Amino acid sequence: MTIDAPAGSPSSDSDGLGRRAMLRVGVTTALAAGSVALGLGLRARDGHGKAKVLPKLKDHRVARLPGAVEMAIARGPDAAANVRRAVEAVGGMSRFVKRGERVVIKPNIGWNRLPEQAANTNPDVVAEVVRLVAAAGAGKIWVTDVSVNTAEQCFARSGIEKAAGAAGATIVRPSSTAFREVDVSGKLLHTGDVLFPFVEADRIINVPVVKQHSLSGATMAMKNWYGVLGGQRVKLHQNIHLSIVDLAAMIKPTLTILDATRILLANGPTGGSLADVKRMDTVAVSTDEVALDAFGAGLLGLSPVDLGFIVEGMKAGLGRLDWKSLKTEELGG
Amino acid sequence: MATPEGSELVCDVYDMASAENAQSIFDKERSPTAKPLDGWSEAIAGPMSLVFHHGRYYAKLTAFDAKAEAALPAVARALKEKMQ
Repeated sequence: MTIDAPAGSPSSDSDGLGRRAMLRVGVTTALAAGSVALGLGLRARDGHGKAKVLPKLKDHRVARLPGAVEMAIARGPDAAANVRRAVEAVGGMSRFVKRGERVVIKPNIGWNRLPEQAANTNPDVVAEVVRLVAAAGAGKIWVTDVSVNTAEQCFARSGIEKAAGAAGATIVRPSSTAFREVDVSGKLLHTGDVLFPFVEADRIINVPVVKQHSLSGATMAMKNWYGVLGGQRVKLHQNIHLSIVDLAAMIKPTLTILDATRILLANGPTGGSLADVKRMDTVAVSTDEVALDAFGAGLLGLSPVDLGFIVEGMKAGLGRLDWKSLKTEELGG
Repeated sequence: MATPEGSELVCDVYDMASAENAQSIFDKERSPTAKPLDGWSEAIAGPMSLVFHHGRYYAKLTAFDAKAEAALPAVARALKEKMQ
């Protein structure tokens, strides 16, 4: 991974918080060191054996349908039903996934936490997305993330490995051979070590959870792309809003399914205390991840204009901050 | 980490390089619902969670069941002793 060093630049993130991740140390087997330090493994090689930087990821979006619902918000006690109803409202999964396509689904599986602690995407949401993608005829379905805590524990404790695996997905835990260096050509990030399914997939579906985040203010759709990277991605936190926008510009997902079944209101992104969790029983779906982040900000009691990555994402042309300007369908429980 | 009964908990310890940094992140991330621990002003606890800072270190302990939750204060105090 290559980045522009922001040394000396005044940044709201350049205080002790930025150092925290870099200086994180382990005292138990459950600590963070493992998976984020990956990304030094197998890479494409040119004829001289030198590592080759792959071209930018392709655009995974589908054509817009005139008059179609642009955002669907489903509320109700059944998380899987919320996914089904919201996806159906924006045109059904068959609008986004065609028979035989390879699809990667990207939940947040960053933390060694239970579903009730709301630090990861809800496993029932992920499993239902897998089922819908399978029903659309996908030839291959990957579910993956580059965890912050030890991947094996995150994938198991979150319930996602079991639920998504049972629904028919291939679970990809990050390993030293799972990354490819690709061109990013962002303002901060020039290249990135990206998990291979994101390089090989025909379709990409982002399935983030809604959480408060001590550095960026919130983590939802755009911030979830941190989890495609290996290497020392902690450095990106020193200029977090710009790096989020770089990554959101790098990956143009087919669909985003925002999980607000439970949201984390404080002590994020790690969470842990059940007192910081609020049950919302909501799933929102759109192809506009800026709009989804703006919607999610409201759930956290935040204004989207106060979140730098949302404002910068809008300025970069990645989507619309005013989510209410989208053609929206709200589905009650 | 596991309790003698087999319940698991996780301890995340961050080296913040200075006591000021550790205090700062503790204050910034402090959950409004967390309550101070009796006799230990640098520690707060909520359901399934205990957070404290000591010297240059910031620590977050997370439990996954009631037995592990009950063990959090003792584990935190033992961890604090190792930070001397």
